[in-house]
Amino acid sequence: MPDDLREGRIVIVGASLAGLRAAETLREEGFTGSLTVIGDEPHPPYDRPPLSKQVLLGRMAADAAALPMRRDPDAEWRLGVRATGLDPVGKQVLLADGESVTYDRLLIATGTRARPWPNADEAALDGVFTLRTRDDAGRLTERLAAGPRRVLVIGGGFTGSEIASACRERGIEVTLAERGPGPLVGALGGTLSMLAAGMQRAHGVDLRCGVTVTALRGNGRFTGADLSDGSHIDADVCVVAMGAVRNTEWLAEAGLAAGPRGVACDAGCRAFNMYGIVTDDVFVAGDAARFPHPLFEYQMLSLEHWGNAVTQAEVAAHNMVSPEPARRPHLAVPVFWSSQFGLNIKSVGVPTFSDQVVIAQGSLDERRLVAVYGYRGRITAAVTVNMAKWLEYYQGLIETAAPFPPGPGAADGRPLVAAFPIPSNVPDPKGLFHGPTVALTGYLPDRRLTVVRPAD
Amino acid sequence: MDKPLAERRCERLILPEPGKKPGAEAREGWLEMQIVVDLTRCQGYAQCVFLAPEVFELHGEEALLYNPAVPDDQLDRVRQAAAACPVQAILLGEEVSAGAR
Ligand SMILES: Cc1cc2nc3c(=O)[nH]c(=O)nc-3n(C[C@H](O)[C@H](O)[C@H](O)COP(=O)(O)OP(=O)(O)OC[C@H]3O[C@@H](n4cnc5c(N)ncnc54)[C@H](O)[C@@H]3O)c2cc1C
Ligand code: SF4
Repeated sequence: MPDDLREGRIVIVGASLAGLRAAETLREEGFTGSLTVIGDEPHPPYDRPPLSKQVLLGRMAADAAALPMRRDPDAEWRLGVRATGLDPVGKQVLLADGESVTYDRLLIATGTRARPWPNADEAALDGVFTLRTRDDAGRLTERLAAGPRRVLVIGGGFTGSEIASACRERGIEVTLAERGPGPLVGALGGTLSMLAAGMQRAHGVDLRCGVTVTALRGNGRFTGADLSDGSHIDADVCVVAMGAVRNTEWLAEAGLAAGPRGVACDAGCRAFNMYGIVTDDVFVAGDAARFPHPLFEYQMLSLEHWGNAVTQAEVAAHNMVSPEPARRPHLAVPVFWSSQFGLNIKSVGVPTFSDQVVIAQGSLDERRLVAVYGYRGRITAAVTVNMAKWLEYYQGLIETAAPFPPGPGAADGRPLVAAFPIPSNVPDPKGLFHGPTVALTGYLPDRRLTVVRPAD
Repeated sequence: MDKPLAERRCERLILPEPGKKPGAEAREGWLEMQIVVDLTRCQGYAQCVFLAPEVFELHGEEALLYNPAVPDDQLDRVRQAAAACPVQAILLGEEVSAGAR
């Protein structure tokens, strides 16, 4: 039996980071059967993080970010064709061109897309953009190069903040509107949001928090937007950066536990069906997955993290070709990075899974620090700003559930800067224009998803 | 798939990617390899910046920016950078060729 798993037909839906790394791993693990990768974008797999950084800064072309292969996975690439449905009984993926592909085992790696502006007519105005694909980035960069008078960014999450940063670096006036109390607050809580807001203002961003954008204006061409405080912003480019939506609609009839927060799976990346029963031959990895994590009380996490897409794809691929006793759990601690306004921000663990935060090294004034997050007396996350070398140390503390706050001089022999932990102030994402990029999505594997947040 | 590298590169020279934008002249020649840096692992040691400054740069104190499309004349330097990176965060390789049906 084990030998059989190295043969047969494997289909991967989603030809991006998770899809490519899974395909390579399958071959590394000795899979000799047929491998098909289906992707709706017409391009071979490319890397997204540079799109809001080097590309918007004009330092590289939007089409230059192809991902290198670790090895040629010897796959049939079916690019530019969307999977429209899944027949789990006939074991077929249905394609938009009317064809279908039969599988023995399937990997879902369809990731996310940019959440569109809710009013379709306003979203269709010339000059209104979202940023998820290299084509999006190409169009937006062209517009930035044309020298707009002002760019309006809606949403102060990582992507929105990076876009604002790139605009300022190019000398373009930018207004950033965020419904919540500050930028990055949904991901990092109140303290680091203060730092982020300070950086934005110091770099000349016209930052408007606690306001909603009520309407985008323009006659064919975007000319500005109305805000809920009665003000109006004149701008000729608008970037809607309101977070991501999971690409799970194509699974609506598949009977899987798939919904707007992702496809629920077990610790071994096997998808649950809608009754909460784990499937035998359907696996999930990357931004599309929702998976339980023991460090965070087995709550289901939905991540939008580059590193998670890679490690989860590797675990899923290993498990797809391994008999049950040889299967591995996906236990990696979430790690994320962002660069904006000259700062390198890295996070490990789940900052939103916290009730308190303490600045363990550095300070807000120096713009160099490590913030450590705790939940009920243990360390659950750390964020470094321009102190990335410390990340690994704190990762160790998270993995061993070390007590919070960390002991004085835990890391470098220096005393804790803020001796007193303060509330981490992570607001309810419902009141924000941006998502947390690590979302706690409750315990239930079925479609009725509830958001469970640490209460106190 | 098991043709020598040079031959496959020639195929690419004859068949440039359709719809290639004029802004992409930096990629002229089509011979370059691609890199990706695992920035979850990168600790900003900057060895790569010293070894291949035309490809890697630090933005601010420790945020690494790089050009994923490595120009041919930088290939040796990038190989050295990848070997020197203390956390082995730099992956150099070919992109998936879009000859797929
Ligand atoms: C602008 C930007 C900046 C980012 N910056 C960072 C960063 O600094 N740090 C970080 O950690 N992460 C960052 N990320 C997130 C990171 O890029 C993602 O976590 C990663 O791309 C996830 O990979 P994935 O393969 O799971 O999903 P995706 O990359 O979303 O790929 C899914 C693929 O599946 C395709 N697809 C969807 N539905 C179908 C279908 N029905 N049929 C066929 N194909 C389908 C999609 O078109 C897409 O090509 C950034 C993302 C963006 C967009
Ligand atoms: S050498 Fe490695 S760790 Fe150092 S900056 Fe370059 S990629 Fe990062």
